Amino acid sequence: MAPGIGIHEDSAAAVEKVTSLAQLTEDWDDTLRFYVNGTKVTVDTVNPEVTLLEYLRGIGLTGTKLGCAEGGCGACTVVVSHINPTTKKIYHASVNACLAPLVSVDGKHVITVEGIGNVKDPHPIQERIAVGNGSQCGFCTPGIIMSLYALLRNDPSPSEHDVEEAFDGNLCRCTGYRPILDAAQSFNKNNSCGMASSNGGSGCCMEKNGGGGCCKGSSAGNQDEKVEIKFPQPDFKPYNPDTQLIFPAALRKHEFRPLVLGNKRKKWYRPVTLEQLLQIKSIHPEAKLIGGSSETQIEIKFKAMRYACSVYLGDIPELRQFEFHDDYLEVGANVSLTDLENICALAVERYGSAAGQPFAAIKKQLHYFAGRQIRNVASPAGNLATASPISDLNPILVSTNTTLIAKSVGGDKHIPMTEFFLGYRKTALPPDSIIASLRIPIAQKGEYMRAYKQAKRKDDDIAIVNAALRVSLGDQRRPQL
Amino acid sequence: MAALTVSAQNAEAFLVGQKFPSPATLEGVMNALEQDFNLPFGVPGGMATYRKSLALGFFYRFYHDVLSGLQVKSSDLDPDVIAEIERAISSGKQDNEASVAYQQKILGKASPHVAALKQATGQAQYTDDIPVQQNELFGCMVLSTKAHAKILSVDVSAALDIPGVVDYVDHNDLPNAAANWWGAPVCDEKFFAVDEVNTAGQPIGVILGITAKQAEEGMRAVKVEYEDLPVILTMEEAIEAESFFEHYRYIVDGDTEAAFKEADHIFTGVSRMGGQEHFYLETQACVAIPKPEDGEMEVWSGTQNPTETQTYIAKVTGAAANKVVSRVKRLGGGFGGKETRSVQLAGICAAAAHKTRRPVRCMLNRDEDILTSGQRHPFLGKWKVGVTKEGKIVALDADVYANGGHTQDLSGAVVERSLSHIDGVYHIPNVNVRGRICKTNTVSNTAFRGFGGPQGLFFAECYISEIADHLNIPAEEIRAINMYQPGDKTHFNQILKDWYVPLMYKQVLEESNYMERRKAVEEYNKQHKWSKRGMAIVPTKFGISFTALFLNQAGALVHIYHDGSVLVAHGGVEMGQGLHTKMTMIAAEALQIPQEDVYISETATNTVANTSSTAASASSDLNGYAIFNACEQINERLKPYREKFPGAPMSKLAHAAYFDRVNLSANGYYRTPDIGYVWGENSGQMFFYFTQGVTASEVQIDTLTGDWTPLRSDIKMDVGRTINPSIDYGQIEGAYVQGQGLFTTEESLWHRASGQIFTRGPGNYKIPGFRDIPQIFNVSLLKDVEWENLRTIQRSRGIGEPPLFMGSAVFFAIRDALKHARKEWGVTDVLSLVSPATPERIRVSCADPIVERARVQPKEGEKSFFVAI
Repeated sequence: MAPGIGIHEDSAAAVEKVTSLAQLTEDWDDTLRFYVNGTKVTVDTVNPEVTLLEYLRGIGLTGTKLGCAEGGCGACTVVVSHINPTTKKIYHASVNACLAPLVSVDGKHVITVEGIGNVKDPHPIQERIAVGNGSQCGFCTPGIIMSLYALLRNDPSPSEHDVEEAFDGNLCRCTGYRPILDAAQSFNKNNSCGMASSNGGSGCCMEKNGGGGCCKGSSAGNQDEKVEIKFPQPDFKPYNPDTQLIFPAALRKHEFRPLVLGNKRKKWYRPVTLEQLLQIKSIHPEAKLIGGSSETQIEIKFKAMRYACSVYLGDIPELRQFEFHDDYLEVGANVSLTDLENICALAVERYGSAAGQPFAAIKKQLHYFAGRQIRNVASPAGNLATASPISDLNPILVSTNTTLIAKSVGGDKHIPMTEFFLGYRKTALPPDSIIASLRIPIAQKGEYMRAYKQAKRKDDDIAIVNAALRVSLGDQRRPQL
Repeated sequence: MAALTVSAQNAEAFLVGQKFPSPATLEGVMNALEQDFNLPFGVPGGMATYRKSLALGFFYRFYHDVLSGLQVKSSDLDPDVIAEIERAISSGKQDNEASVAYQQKILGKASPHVAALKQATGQAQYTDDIPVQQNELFGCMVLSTKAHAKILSVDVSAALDIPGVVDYVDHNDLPNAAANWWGAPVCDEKFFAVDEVNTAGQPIGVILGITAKQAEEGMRAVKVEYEDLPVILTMEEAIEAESFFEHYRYIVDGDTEAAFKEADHIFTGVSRMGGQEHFYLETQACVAIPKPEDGEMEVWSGTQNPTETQTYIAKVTGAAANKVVSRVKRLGGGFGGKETRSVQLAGICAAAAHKTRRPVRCMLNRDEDILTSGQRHPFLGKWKVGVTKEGKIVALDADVYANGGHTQDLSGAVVERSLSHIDGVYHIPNVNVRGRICKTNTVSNTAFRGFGGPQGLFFAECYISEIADHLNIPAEEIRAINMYQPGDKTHFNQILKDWYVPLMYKQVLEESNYMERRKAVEEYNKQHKWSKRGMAIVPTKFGISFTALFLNQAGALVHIYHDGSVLVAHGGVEMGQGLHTKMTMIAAEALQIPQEDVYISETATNTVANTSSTAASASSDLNGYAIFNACEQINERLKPYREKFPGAPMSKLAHAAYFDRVNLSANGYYRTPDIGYVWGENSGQMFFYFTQGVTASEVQIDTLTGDWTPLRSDIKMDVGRTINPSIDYGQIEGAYVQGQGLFTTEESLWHRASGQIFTRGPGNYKIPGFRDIPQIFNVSLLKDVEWENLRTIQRSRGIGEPPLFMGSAVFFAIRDALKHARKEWGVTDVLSLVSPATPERIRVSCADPIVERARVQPKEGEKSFFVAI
């Protein structure tokens, strides 16, 4: 049996016995340190129940809107830039501020619609959406702008396809979307001549003729690709990735310390090592573990659930790793679903299309799994622990005979996914354990695997039925176990 | 399929060891799956047949996908079932030259929404963005959880014990019993329930807390005891129980009885369409600020109707209207949902502010908004048409029902509009149509873009489609031969002037290559067994005017300051539709100044009094003329200065005039001429004019799953001389997509057992997303014609509501595709498709062996889990 991720089999024995959370967290810090729109913020007195959205609106940043409080409309979208523990690279995550607990932004850079431009000096995205008639009532607009901003920050020259799919977590009720897509497509790599590095340096043609517009809009421009200009764009500012809000240098060196904050009603724990997490779980098995809060915050808001002891898991690097083995992929249970999409793409490449079928199936389901803002924070562990029958991920994990690695201070437990779900929102996870990782086997010769989903709406909708089907054909094409 | 992720155990057990590529194996697995997923009709979550068909269909697809990779007999393989629908990149064209012929300096030219840049940078202020007031409280309404019940007791003691909870306000805190009643035109709704609740979501009281969270916690601690009373949810239940509001209207024209006797064919049908949640992105919100003197109150309410807000706030606070100012900066969408229903929250906040003498704020959570603020009316139409053998309609008889909910609200006018639009664009010499409002225990349904028009038009396109199928004549032809011609009279005796539907019908057919593509669709359908395409071309006319005559008036106030800048106030509310943009353009053109010099700050009852709601697509017509009228008054006074200083900027003119003691302010006014219809008599002119349009749509459906995609839509609208093509295109595209949602993905469902609405947020109520719009989305405006009889400002037509019905082209294209899908399996009887055409309805309307074996029948007395009202 291969070792688990980030923790040795024997590490459990090394865990020191502590008996109370107060004792365990005696030395933990109680101060959140993060950046908002380039400015450093230190918070040591905060209501532990506030969401990121409530915090931002409370300090006067009312550009970010509340539309639904369930991560379904995208009006509250902000960008949280951080060093992704999975890839070790800076990632600009669009997230639903209405769901994000404030504790989740410690050590990160929160960028809101106010941070990227104003009426006098709008960001090119803001300018183009506005001038291109992409804003009518305007209530969805900040969220849409931040989704596009996240896309461009992560990839300054996105494909047409990437742009088209960048808004699966945003809704607009006024425009019919067409003008927003047109404005957004002006940034795709065919239309924006500018800053794609392949273009060679800073050579945006906007500088041509004293700033008289993009070469792609004039007949004198690049003749290779015929680009249809959908609305007049004579004086648009170019998008220059080099002049965007930088990732604060201080955050590159940010020391992620274990945090505890809150009051009698509610306490937040933010462990930064697996060991700390396991200790919390061992002392207090009822502690609510929270990754993206995409489920929990809805329970709190709409079902009046109270979680007096919540543990934020997003900053434990050990739970966010992955490793390719010869016959399986081991993936940390708390990788973001966005990362899981990318990991699965790599897995298909590595194992090939036949053996990689399970990963292609996961990737396919994730494509229509919630919106980008949710996939940026939600995790496989959340899907599994919630054990909701509507999860788009769980059927694949069951049908592929994935093994779940549960960890506790007492040691590891390997649970086949076929035995994991016991009932409605009930699982075989022992109360003092956490879901550490998943071992997803590759498909063997003769195996076929597909996943399907049908919902009312294609993007960002709960499945009516989802299914993963796998058959292993042996001799004479007879299915075998 | 179960309460947890489950594997299909019977199917697995059966499959092991069988020869996979064999029809017998396939059949065996399908049988086993039926056992594995034997859902009862009343299964929680509903959709038993559909869910079962998906389980079977997914295996069927998988099976053939696997087989396609093996060497098998081609007769065993069903290759068409494997592919799923994937969208292409969206594209589309707009005609940007449409207004060239009549552009002026400003009017007729494309320009963006005046607040777009503020909105895009987060600087635009909405109601809840107003900074917290000193001593402000937050309100959280205590809502009924029962659809119909006696209130036995309300115990707030536990709530008032919670730290941060300050007070509880209910009907006992109003100045008198009459103050608890609101609603127009019939004042039949209570702000706070007294003794009885008539719908789940009815306000009983409001808890005030220092923060929203504390108020919410207090609300949850209020204990209400009920005694259940019988519940009516649906129109069918109401009809059976004869539960109607008194309002009853009819239009009788010609002699239907005689015409039916002579008709070659008589066809009858029942058409049903669901309602629609407004889903404006900004929920209902209000900040009520009591003033220290004389009972004054200032209220910021997200409303389309500041005057009605003012009226009822005066009532609940016991003040005269002159002590109440109702103000609106902008709305994050309205669509009719804030025309009357916003008054409920504003009245409650004002009552609470009045009692506590502290500012009270409330912005509803999305679920509270859906529970309390009403939707588009679901409609049921029972119709009978007499038709000649060529397909000419000679008579229409119909009973039309709307689900009004527990109070009347605007239901009467909504039903009236459905009756005046039930002719579609078709000339029917003999008409007898009657409309009633069902009184039920649901949320009170209200105005929603189209206001009964789309429902009436839907019935028209339903009988057109069904006549076409009965007679086996293409629907396109039935439409063409019945279409009104210029000069024809409607069933309410209005002569059609500037009538361009026949022209646009022809233009859209040509410009979209409709007939060629129709042939290609036939060919596609021959070659595909599971994937089917369908097309439809749907025309529309929409009558512009409030049907309540007195509402067709507007006022405006124009100030020119002596630096030359201009402040305009008018009665209309900006809710994203671009009204203020059009209004500043009209003022700027009239005063011959740059548009940037004109500013509209807000809509408020102390600048323009006695305004009508911003509704009925008439706000540009009404307020535009009122502003123009005010500008003309000032222009008259400025004439000497223009003569004295030719070509001078306004700053110079205004400065000179001011020093000569010339009044640089004017109050403008306008009322729509000519109109005044009398119900019953069927006399007088109902509408000032009709906005018109035609849309052709093509769709593709996956009959195995009910999945679908809109391939292409071509829309042409007659907006007269557009004031601003950018704004009008925005209205057309937006309304179209909202209409597409109405007729496809948007389905409001009620939980039958509790009588509560189930679809309370974006999680289970699906408005169209980015990737639901037509893959090819072309829009144009009618041009190169004259509008001789159109006497509106700039000769432009109202555009807010009319394009919404164009979204139905997708519905009828789906219906067309379903016809082909059913024919594939030999089923040719006429399909009565209920709206919205959800993937479930699409799937279960198919007739293939998989869906047939998946059909689940109710057991004796078994009811569905959800119900559409």
